Amino acid sequence: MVGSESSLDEPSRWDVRASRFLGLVGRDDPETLSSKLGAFITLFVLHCAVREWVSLYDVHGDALLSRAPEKVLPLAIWLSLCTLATLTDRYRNAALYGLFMGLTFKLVEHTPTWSNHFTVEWITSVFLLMGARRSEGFPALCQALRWLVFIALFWSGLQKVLHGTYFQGTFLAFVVANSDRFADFFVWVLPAWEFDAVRSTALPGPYRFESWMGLAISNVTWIAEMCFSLLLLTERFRMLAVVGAAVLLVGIEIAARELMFGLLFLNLLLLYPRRDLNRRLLPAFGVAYALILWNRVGLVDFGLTN
Amino acid sequence: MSARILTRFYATAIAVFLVWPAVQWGLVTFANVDPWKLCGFAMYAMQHHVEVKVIDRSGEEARDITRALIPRAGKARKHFLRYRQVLGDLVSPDELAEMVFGSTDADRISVVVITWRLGPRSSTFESERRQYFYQRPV
Repeated sequence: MVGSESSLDEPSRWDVRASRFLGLVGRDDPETLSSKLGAFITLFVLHCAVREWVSLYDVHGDALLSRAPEKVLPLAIWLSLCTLATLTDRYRNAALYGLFMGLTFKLVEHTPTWSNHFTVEWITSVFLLMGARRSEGFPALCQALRWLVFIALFWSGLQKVLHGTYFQGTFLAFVVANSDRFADFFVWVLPAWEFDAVRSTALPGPYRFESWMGLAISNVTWIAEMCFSLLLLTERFRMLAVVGAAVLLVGIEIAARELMFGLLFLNLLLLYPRRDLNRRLLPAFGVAYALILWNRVGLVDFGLTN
Repeated sequence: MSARILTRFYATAIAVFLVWPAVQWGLVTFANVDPWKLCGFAMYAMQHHVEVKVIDRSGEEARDITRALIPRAGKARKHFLRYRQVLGDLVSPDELAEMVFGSTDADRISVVVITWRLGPRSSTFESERRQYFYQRPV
């Protein structure tokens, strides 16, 4: 009896659709995936560890020490050990379990007040735990992580549209009026009359930009976020979108000075290019995290918020 | 775990995360949930601030007893404020009212929650006030 080819190994229609859906963000060269993801994992775990050290101590804050140092310090040490473990092939998988456990502990502790960046961090830890322990999971894992970039970028832009606070510059005018951090940036880009008018606006407002520059900055922000995110889904313009998103990120970081979120996002964004930029830029990331820590303990003062 | 199962897992998870911010927007708009929380990526899209006051309505004139709650029910108020700031109308002040009755002589109180947001049309920082009335249980 001649047997027919087995259909057990053939992917189902759903598997094909799932693969195509994930593949909208591009497919990577398997040769570079291992190295790229290895560097990404080390940077990501380092990021999580630094976040704990940063939340433990702040010489510029209202209180020097965190409100719960007895919980933050052990977690900071635990994640630092996980970071070291990612540098070895032997203990990398254990580091992923350790990372997931540490972040899940934090998830429970902070329910339901998690910040958006922490939610992304926890989701990333779940993705890594599921797919980074064996090489056959690398392609889908890399695609899933790239999708997180799309979701964050696209929805950041769309939420600005849905809430309607960027068409007249309302949100930015409000933060310029009430935040020295944003005022320090916008004093350089807004006309002097606009800046003075906005800064002197008292509650409850109205808060609006009148100058074309203010309105342009406000509207270009959400337009760029949505356009670059959609271009990430195109083969032809993907790298342009990566560069554009990186430039946008730099602009946002200069204004908001939230370097931790910027580094998290950049590490994810660098998964898009075929080249292993995560590994090549690892030293630069290390310097950036060191500066954040030094800023926190007062060795330097860049005016960073976190 | 096989590559096929992982693909299914990631595709499902990403599909959920793609849609979730729309749900969060709905919660923000209709239930006063904090736009900076619950992974909707609406931080820097809206300002959000919540105040909580407790008013004693036992006598002829209403009295603001918010400050007077410290330290007896002050912790309960802070706890309620923390959760109300994030979860908006999804958090009821019932427990706070119970604590207030337990630590004051008031027979009738109201818990006033004021939510401040930037109004997109007015461009002003607008407030929405919700009042919850409670009577001391017999």
